[in-house]
Amino acid sequence: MAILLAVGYFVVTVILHAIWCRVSARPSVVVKYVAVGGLTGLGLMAHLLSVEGLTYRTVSGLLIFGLASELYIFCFTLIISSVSAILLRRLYRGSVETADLAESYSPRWMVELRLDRLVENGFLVRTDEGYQLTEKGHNLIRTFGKLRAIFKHPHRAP
Amino acid sequence: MWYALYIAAHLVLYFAVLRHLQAFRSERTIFLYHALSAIGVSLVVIGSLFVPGSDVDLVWVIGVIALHGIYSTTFLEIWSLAEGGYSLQIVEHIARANRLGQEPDAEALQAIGIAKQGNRLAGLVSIGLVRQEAGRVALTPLGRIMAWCFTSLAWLTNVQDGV
Repeated sequence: MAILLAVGYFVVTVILHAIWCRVSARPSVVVKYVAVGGLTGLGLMAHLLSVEGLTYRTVSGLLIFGLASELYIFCFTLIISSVSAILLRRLYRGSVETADLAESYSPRWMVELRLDRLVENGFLVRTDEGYQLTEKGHNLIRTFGKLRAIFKHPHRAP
Repeated sequence: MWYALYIAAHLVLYFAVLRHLQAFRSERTIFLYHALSAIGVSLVVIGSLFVPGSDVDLVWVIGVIALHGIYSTTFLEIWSLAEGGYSLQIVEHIARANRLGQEPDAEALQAIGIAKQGNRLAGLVSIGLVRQEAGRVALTPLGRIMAWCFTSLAWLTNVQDGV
């Protein structure tokens, strides 16, 4: 029962998220999922508690819902940001000349795509002189600097 | 309860000892550290279903596997993010240019893209998702399945990025 409920609530979350993604562009797809998944997750918890009580079955159901949600978010952020996923989606429409692929998905296009997203998400602003980092952008760099230190990743030149 | 303690110990071991080792700075080692643990835990809990007199059931088994899944997926995502993707490299490049009072070097940014594009296409070929023949690039049957999954997901989330 707990497994079925977790799967059922996850499917409902995906459907509600898909509807919201078609209704409005803002906020980001991740924020939308967190909002929808948070509410349906609470609903699942209430439902499990009423059916199973406070038992390991309730905890398991919530863990299954949590893992499914995390993997779903991972997958759709992958298709947005991964160069490999973008190439695969393009090739799904048919084979292309290697040279055409390189031209269509040029490094210039990839940079512009990312710059647009960084502006949309408030990390950069466009000015007459080019791009400027916002406070949010500075915070991003600081946060990743700390994470890099925690995980002992090689430090990039500042 | 024991499995939650095991996962806590797995995390503490990494932060106390393993992260200081050179080998654990590579993606492959980190992935194996988590994948082997997840496989081991899964085998043990699935095996416990068949132990005579055991009071565990399928819900408990899947719950334990999901707990490890959440832990490992979260850890690997944060580890990988911290390594820094293309967008973060762009932000860092612009920050550097802002600090020096210069225009961001478009060619330097594109150079990162050239390296990434080359690596990705070669990577897709090497894992059998894409084939290159007579100057054309096409999906293999496995690549077609994967691309269908990505396309369906893009449809579900209404992702439109000009592909």
